[in-house]
Amino acid sequence: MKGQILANLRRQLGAVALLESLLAEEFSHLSTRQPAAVASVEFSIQELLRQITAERHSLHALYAALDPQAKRLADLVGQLDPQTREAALGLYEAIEKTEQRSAKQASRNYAMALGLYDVTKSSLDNLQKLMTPKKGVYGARGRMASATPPPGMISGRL
Amino acid sequence: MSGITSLLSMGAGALRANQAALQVTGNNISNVDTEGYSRQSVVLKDGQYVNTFTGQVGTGVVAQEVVRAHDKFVEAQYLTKVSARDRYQTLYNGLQSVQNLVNESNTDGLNTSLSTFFDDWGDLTTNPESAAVRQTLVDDTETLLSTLRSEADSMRQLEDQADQSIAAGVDKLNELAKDIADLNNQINQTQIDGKSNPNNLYDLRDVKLREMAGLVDINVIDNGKGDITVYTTAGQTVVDGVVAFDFKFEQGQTVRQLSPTSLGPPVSDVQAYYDGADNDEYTLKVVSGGAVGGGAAFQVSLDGGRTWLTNDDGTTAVYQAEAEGSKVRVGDLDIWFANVDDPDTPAADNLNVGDTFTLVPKKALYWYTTAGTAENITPQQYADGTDNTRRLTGGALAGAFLFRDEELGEFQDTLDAFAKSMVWEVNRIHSQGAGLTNFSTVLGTNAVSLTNVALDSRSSGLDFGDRLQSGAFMLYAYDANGNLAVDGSGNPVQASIAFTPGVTTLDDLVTAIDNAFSPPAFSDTYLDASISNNRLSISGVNGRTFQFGDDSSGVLAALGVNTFLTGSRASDVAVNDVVGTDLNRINAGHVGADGLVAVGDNLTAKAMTELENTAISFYVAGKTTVNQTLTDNYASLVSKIGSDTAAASYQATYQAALAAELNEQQLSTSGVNLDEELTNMIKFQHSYQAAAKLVSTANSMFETVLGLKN
Repeated sequence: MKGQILANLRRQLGAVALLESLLAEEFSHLSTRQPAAVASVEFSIQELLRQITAERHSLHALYAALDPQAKRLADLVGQLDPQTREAALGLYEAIEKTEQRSAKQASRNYAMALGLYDVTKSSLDNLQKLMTPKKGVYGARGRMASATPPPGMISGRL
Repeated sequence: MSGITSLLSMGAGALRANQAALQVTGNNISNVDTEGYSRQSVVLKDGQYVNTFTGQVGTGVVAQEVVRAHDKFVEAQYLTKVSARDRYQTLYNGLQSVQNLVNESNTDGLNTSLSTFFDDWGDLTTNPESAAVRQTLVDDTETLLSTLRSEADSMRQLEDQADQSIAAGVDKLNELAKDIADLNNQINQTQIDGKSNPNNLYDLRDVKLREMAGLVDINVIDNGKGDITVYTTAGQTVVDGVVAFDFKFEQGQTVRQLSPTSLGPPVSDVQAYYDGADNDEYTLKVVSGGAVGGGAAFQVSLDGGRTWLTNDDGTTAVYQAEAEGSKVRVGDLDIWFANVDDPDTPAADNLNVGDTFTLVPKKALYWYTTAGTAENITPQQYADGTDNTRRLTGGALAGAFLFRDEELGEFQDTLDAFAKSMVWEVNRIHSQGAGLTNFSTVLGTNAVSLTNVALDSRSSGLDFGDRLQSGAFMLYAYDANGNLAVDGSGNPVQASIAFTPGVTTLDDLVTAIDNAFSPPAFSDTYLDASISNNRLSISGVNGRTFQFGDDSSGVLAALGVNTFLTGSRASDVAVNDVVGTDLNRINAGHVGADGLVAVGDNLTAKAMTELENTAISFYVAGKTTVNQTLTDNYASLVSKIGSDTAAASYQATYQAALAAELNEQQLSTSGVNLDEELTNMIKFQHSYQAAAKLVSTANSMFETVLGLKN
C-alpha cells in the first residue's frame, strides 16, 4: 500500500512537471500568436489535468484504505515508517513547488491570451462601429434609421 | 461631345486610367518588401455625363487620385503597444546585465567571499597569534572587498551606458520631431485634396512616428494633411504641425516653489543647494519657518512629496536648514541653503512653512516649451511602484531611465547599505578589541567636516554619525615595557572617555583624552590627543603605548580608530592600512580585566565569527530599515534582481506579442499581397486591352464614315 502511495506521488510529480513544460510551450505559442498550436497544447493540458485528478482520486482511496479518516498525506504521515515518510514528504514538496510554478505560468498565459483577445476585440469593435450606419440613413422598411442603431443584421446600405 | 470622337477620347481616357492603375500595381509589386510601404490603389471615377438625344451618355473614366490603404485606428493602438514593448525590452536588457554581474553559478562571487571571510575569523579563534592565518584573513578580506568594489564599479559603468543610450535616444527624438515637422510641411505643400496625395510622405511620416513611439509614449491627433499634433501621453507636445519641440538631457535643475509668505513682496532670496549625486529626486519641504541656521527645518521626500523620509524608529525625519558652513547630510547629498543667485552668499531672508525645493542631483530629461521654460519629464516611480503619469511612461527612453534610476539606482543603494552595515558592524567589534602589539600612535580614518559640531549631528560629515549612541570607550596606557602604566599612587593609567549625543564634538573628545591622560588627572603626560586634518589623532608620550577597550558609544568605529575596514560604500571599502601593513594590528583579543591583552585571547575573533549569523540593520533612504544577516541581505538583493529581470522579461514578451498582433492587423490592411496584385494586373491589362479595342473600333467607325464619300 505504501509503495502504491509513493508510486502515485511519483506519477503525480511527473505529471505536474509535464504540465509545467506544456504551459511554457503554450506561452511560447501565445507569444508568437499561433492559435492552432495553442489549441493543440491546450487539449493536452486539459487531458493531463483530467489524469492528475484521476490520480488524486486514487491516492485518496489509498489513504482511506490505510486510515478511513485520512484525507491528506498529513493525516497519515505519522503512520508511515521514517524512510517512506521522508520519501513521501519529499515528493509532496516537489509536487507543491512545481504546481506553484505552473500556477504562475498559467496566470501569465491567461494574461497573454486575454491581452491578445482585447487587441482583437477592440479592432472588431472599431470595425463594427465603422460599419454601423450613423444617421440620415433609410432603414429596410423605408424609414430613417435611428442615429445610433443597436447591432443587427446589415441590410440595404452595403 | 458626342459621336465617334467621344468614343476615341473615352478610349484614350480608359487607356490612361488603366495605365495608371497598372503603374500603381507595378509600384505595389516593386515595394512588396519595402519597410513601411502602404499598398496603393487608383481611385477611378466615371467622367461627366452628357445629355444626348438618346439620353445621358457617360464620357468615360477618370483616374481621380492614388490613395494608400492605412488603418488609423490600428496604427494608434500599435503606437501605444510599441511604447510599452520598448520600455520593457530596454529595462529587460539592462536588468540582464545586472543579473550577469551577480550571477555566481560559474564563478566565486560575493557570497563565497563572505563565507571565506568569516571562516578566516573562525581560523583566527583557534590560532590567534598565527601570522599565516592573519595574512590569509587580510588577503581574503581584500578579495571580498574588491568583489564588492568591482560590482559597484560595474553598476556605475552600466549607469554610464544608460546615460549614453539616453543621450543618443534624446538626440534621435529631437531629430525625429524635426523630420516629422518637415514632412508635415512637405505634405501641406504637395497635397491637393481629392487629387494629389503624397502617399510616400505619409508612409515616411508613419515610419518616423513608429520610431518615435519606440522612444517615448505618444498620441497623435490627425486633422488631415500635415496638420498633426504629436504629444506624449502626459501631454507634452512633441510636434505641432510644422513646429517641433525640443527635449534636452541635461544636469537636473533645482526648482523652488515658494509659499505665499515667501513670495512677498519682496520675494524670498533663499535657495537650496547640494553636493553629491543621486538617482532620486529630493523634494525638500519647509515644516518650521525661521532663519537659515536659526531654527528653520525641513522634511525630505524621494517621490515628489508622496512619502517622507523617516528616522530609524519610523518617525518622519526633520532636518535643520543650515548654511553652507554646516551642510546637512540627507541620503547621498549634503544640502545647504544660501542666496538664490550665489551658493556662497548667505541668504538674508527666512524660510517659511510650505516653501518647497526640488533637487534633481542627476542628468534628467527636460521638455522645452516654445516659451523656453523647461519641464522635468524624467520618468519617476512612486514608492508603491506606480508611474508618475505627468512624466514619460513608455518607450525605450522611459525604460532606460527607469533602469538607471529605479532599478539600478535601488540596487546600488542596497549594495551601498550592505557595504555600510558590514563596515560598521565589523569595525564596531574590531575597534573594541586589541592586537598583538600596542599602539604608539593612531590616526582615525574618518574625518569630520566641522570639529566643533556634535559628532552625531547631520552636519558633522561623519558617515556613521547617525549610529552613535550615548556611552563611553576605554583607553589604556602602557609604559615603555608594555606593562599597564601606573601613576605615582599605583593607580592604573586608564580612562573611560564619555560620549553624549548632540553634545560631544571632536574638540571635546580631544580635550577629554588630554584631560584624562595628563595633569591634573595624573602627574605625568601619558597620551597626547590632537586633531589632524579633521581626524582624531592619539600618540603615546615618552615611549608609552596604548590600547582601546569596550566602547558602548561607537565613537571609535565612527572615527575609524582601531578599525579593520575603511570606507562607507561599496565603491570605497578597503582594508584599513594600519591592519594591512601590520598584521599584529588585527584584533583577535581584547584588553582583559587586568588591563593587559592575554596571550591566546580570541574574544574579538569569536565575536566576529558570530556576526555571520547575527541580524544587523540595513538602511536605504526611502525604504524601511531591514534586519537581516549579511548573507541574507545580499541574497535578497540577488533574488530581487532575479525577480525584477523575470518580470521585465515577461512584460517585454507580452507587449511584443500584442504589438506584433497589431502590426499584422495593419499589414492586413496596408501590406502588399502579391497574389492580389497579380490579379489586379491581369484585370487592368484586360481593361487596357479593351480600351485599346475601343480606340481601334472608333478608328474603324471613322474609316466607315470616311468611306461613305466613295
